[in-house]
Parts: sequence; structure tokens; C-alpha cells
Amino acid sequence: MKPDIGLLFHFGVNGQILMHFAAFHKIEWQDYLQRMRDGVQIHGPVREGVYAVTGYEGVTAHGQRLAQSEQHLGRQET
Amino acid sequence: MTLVFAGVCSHAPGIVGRAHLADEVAKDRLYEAFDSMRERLEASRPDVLIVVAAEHFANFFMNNMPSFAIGMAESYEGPIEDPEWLGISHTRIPGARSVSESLINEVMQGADISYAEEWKFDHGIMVPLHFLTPNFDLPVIPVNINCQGPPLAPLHRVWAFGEALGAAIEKLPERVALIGTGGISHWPATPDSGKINEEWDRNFLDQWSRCDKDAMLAYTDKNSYLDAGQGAFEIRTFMTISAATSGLPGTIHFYKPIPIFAVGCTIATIDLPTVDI
Repeated sequence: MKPDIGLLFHFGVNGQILMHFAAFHKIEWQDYLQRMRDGVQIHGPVREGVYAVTGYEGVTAHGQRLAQSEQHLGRQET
Repeated sequence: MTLVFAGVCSHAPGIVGRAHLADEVAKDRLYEAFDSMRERLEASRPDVLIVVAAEHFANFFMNNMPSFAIGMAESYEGPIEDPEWLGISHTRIPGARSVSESLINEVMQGADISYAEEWKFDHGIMVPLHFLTPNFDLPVIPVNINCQGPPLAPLHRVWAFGEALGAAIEKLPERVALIGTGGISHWPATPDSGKINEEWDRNFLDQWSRCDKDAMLAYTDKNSYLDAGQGAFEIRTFMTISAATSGLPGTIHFYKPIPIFAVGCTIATIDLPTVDI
């Protein structure tokens, strides 16, 4: 049985600890992120701590958008 | 002045641990930038490397959280995380106990700090060392600034700490290299991990490169949190390097948002006067 990452995140467990707990249970990175998102959906906003969810589009969509933007603007890294 | 090298770099664990998930071109460019930083570091022939990092509840927890801590051990170990997860093998890193003790005594003249004779490095130190001292053979003095568990030291106290650190380094006979490691805007280990506020980052880096003290001290944790995530509290490490180098400007060698690494990856150095010792 895998731990309820979403519920723990909802309770306010710090991600710097929770991500290692997830890794210990062989939960892959993207799955870890999704479990936290699901936890907020199911249980509500984080109760304690410094976290708030901002509605981030996700790594894949963000990466694709950055690549498209760089192509359009010809922008490179500094 | 015995400071022979100073700079800042990112330390996100994904830089190594999730490298296989990254765009290969972006990853390679970042790694090349780290290689260039390593070459500059090696060319400066340091005797010791001071790493100012933001620890992540690996050694210091909410039962006892120092605002500032400096290591004073003969040697250290790392990573404290699962080596497989981080992509860095467990190893021993030499310290420099007597240099640490001298440094701590001098820093205490200008700032109130804690010290630690035991310290297991987390990714905040291990990721930079993986690239900058890949043989882990350069003695390291770790410095931690609490950027994780509020209440955090106010930025003007971080600046004072940096000035005290810089003054202490000047009194050391050793050739000292100094790096700050951390993220700029980021929301690490949260559902928003990967989000990066590039405009905020570039604005901060512009201020950092000009060593605009007033601009950097004008940040508030409340606004940084809203605009740049809880990870932005780590600007404290970058500002420490500015304060320690007496207002010298810096050069941004590399900046690029890489979402899978959860941060705008940064490599920068302080424009130190040429040292010929």
C-alpha cells in the first residue's frame, strides 16, 4: 500500500521532506506532483505551512511554451 | 584580500537527479556553464571553498533552527538524500576545521551565528560540488542560511552576515573561494514545481550583477512568496555573496528556466580584482 501523498501535503508536510518520503516509496517525480494536486482537490487547501497552490500549468506544458517562445523571439539563455 | 573566487549557482536536485527527463540541449548548456565555472574556480587555486547554501531540513529542523550556521568539522558526508534519487554517490568531503574555527571566531565579531561539528550535506551543497569539485578533494566549509522555515532572518541581517563573512575571509591567510547556492523564483517540491517567474528572476539577477544593495534589501518575503514562490527565500544566499564581496559587481554567465529542474538555472561570478599571491 502506497502512502497518501495528497493527504500528507494537505496536512502541510513540507515538500522538502515529502518528496523524499515519496521517493522512498518509489513514487516517480511527476506522479508525486500529481498526487499533491489530487490531494488538494480531494481534501482542500493546505492547512499549515508556507504552501499555496497557484494553478501552475505543469512542467511539460511550460517546457513546450518556453521552447516555442524561444523560437519566435530568437531568445537564448543568458 | 584572500578571496580568490566568488560566485553563485543553482543547486536544485533535479539538475542531476532528473537530468534524464530534461531537454538534452538545455541540460548540456547548463552543464557546460557549470564546467566553465569549475575551470574558473580551479584557475583561482583555492585552499578552501566556502559554500553558502540553503539547507532543506536535512540537519537543521524546526526543533532547533539557526538563522546562520557554519560547519567546523574535519570532514563531512553527503548526500544525506538517497544517492540514487539525487544521482550523486555517497562520499566523504574534506573539511578544514582550523580554518572554520578562525572563520567562525571572526564572523562572530559582526554577526550572531551557530556552528556545527557534524553536518551531512544535502543537495544544496552536493549538487554544486558534483560539478565544481567533482573529485570532492577541495576542503569545504559549509554555511547554512535558514531559507526554509519561517521566521527567517530579515534581509538586512543577511546582508550584515555577508559583510561579517567577507571581513572574516579577509583575515584568513588561505586562498578562499566562496560560492552561494540556491534558486531564485521557484516552487520546489510542491504541485507547482517547475513554475518559474523568468521576469522576476532576470530583474533580481540584474540587481545582483550591479550589486544594487538598496534594491535587493527592498524585497520582502511576503512579496517574494507571492511573485516567486517559497523557493525565492533563497535569494539570501546570493545576497550574502554580494555583501561578502563589498559591493563588487558580478557577471551572469548563464541563466535559463528549465522547468524539469524546477528553477531558472543560474551560473554567475563576482568580478573580483585580479589576485596575485
